[in-house]
Amino acid sequence: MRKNKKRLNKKRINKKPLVNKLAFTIVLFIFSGFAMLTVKNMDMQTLVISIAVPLIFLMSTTLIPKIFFADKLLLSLVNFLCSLGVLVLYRMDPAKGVNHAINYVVGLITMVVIMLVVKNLSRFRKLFPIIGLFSIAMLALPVVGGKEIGGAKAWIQIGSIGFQPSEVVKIMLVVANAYFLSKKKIFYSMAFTGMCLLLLVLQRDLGTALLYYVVTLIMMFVASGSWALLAGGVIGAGAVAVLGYSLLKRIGFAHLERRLLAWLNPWGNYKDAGYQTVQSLLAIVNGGAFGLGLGAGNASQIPVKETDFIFPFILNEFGMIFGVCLVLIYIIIFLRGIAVAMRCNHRMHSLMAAGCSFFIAFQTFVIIGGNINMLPITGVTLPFVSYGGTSLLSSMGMMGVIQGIASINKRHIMQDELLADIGEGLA
Amino acid sequence: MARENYELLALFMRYWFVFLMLVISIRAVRLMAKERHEYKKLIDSLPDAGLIGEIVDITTGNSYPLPREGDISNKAGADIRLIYLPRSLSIHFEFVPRKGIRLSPVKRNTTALMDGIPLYERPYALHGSYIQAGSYTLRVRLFEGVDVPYSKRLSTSMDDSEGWSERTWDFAADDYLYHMQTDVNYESDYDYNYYSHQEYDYGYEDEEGYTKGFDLAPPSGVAKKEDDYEEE
Repeated sequence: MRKNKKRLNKKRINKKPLVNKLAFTIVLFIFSGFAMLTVKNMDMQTLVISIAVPLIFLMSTTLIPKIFFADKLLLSLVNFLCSLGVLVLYRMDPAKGVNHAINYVVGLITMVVIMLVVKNLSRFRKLFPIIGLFSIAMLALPVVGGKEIGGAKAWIQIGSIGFQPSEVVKIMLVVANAYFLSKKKIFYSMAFTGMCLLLLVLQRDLGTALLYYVVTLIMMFVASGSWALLAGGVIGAGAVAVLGYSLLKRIGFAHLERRLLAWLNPWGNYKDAGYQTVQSLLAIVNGGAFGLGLGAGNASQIPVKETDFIFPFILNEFGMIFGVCLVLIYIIIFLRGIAVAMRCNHRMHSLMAAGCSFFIAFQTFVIIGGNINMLPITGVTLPFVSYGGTSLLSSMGMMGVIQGIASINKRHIMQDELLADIGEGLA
Repeated sequence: MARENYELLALFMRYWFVFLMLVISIRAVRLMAKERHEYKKLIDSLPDAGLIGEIVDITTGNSYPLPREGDISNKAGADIRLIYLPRSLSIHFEFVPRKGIRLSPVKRNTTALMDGIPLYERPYALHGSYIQAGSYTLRVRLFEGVDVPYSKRLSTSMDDSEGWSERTWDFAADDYLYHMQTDVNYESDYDYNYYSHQEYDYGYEDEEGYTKGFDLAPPSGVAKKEDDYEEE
């Protein structure tokens, strides 16, 4: 009898599944999606990718938390968003889907590398001021010899490879600001961010400039707890926006004026400036609550649907309920990032995690707001989902920062448990 | 597959995708709430979580919990608030594993000292180190098991105010440290014998037989030894 009980207990212990229920549901989702595309396309490439993507998801979600003590929930959700991106992009254009899958794998490797760097951050302490200088040099590159796309001169083309330095500098901005603010050097932080903003304005990339400004302001608020600083920053930004709007044409920001017009009255300018917004709104409405079905949507008319306007495309095929859940997932990622920041024992780690979480959350808010005409279009991407190697790598890098800090927190908790055990041992 | 058939399949499958997405969202929310609850429970069971020891004001005997990183100043938001500290004197401390607690002044012209070393040299405080800041004299006490090197400092910088020799003070502290630190790295056998087997004068005993003169109470979270209870 006792033996049977022991066996039962052993079985119960071993019952803990390798993959949790959440990961299983996500795999089911990805696999169902790719299975449908395989049925539609009936080719070998789709079959291979329909096996490869769920496998990448499973391997990364099970192995990375075990080896590097990463946050499993955060990793599962981020992997889900990346896989959703691959699925939607593959449905739009198989070549872009394959590229996104490759970028996803490279992004995972980047995330792990950044996690390891963050875990040994004290060894790189002397590099932080150099990171600041390097960021400014990177942002100056497009000003000197950049390529203009969509009105902004924010791209660098080296041979066949093009990248956006402002995406790479995002992580550096957070790290450098966290370093300055943890040392209570607010002036250095202001000077550094001001320099970055100036270079972004010269690139005419005001969407990214807005992100940089807001995230730095929030980091300063988190570091100082000063409401006066926050209020001053918001009022200052408002004043600059009003002044800038009256000077838009004179200082060469004609594309911004078009975007503002499209935001204020998209239906009045639907053939010209408001075309993108109108197509986006139509796609969302056509989708309804449940969507038109994967591969059966009619949102192909939206310009730049694979980058800036991927959200309406998803809503068109999967429906509004799906869209609301997608927003909820971004909110969970944000809350999880903030939880990681709040559990930190080190100010710099805390600021880094908060900065990265706010970056991802605010970027999502700005782009989804632009897609549903709540805000003017800014030309930023939907993190993890939109097409674009630099954007995905930068988002995964920021996730690497959060995951690295989450693993440090876990290590600290383990140390605390050990200290408590030793203390009890003395009694 | 024929276009019409695929559209029919897509129309059916859209409900499946929405269902799966709802399940993913609900499971994610539940997992987050469950993890948060478990974390809270864990933190509640570890009253000293995030702390590595305490800092004792040796004039008043007040002790302040020592987190892994923070500030010592007279400001309301400081991790260790000392109200009589000059306003301009603010010290930042950070625990660095295997080295100790790195002390650095927020302003360079701060006149605080750690074991006689000016803080702008960013010294590492160890178990038993003294910090002199303004009118305060503080002593660092670390929990047993904290990953720092052993301190065998024999300071003579302190004045004896209680009729005690400073050397006795340090021997007593080192004896306490010997009990607190298990992973002690003695430089030689001589050091080991010197620190662990020497019998010191612990001071005088009062009428009830209690030792007076210094506070050897272990930091919060560290229980007394069984012998202590027996004696009591």
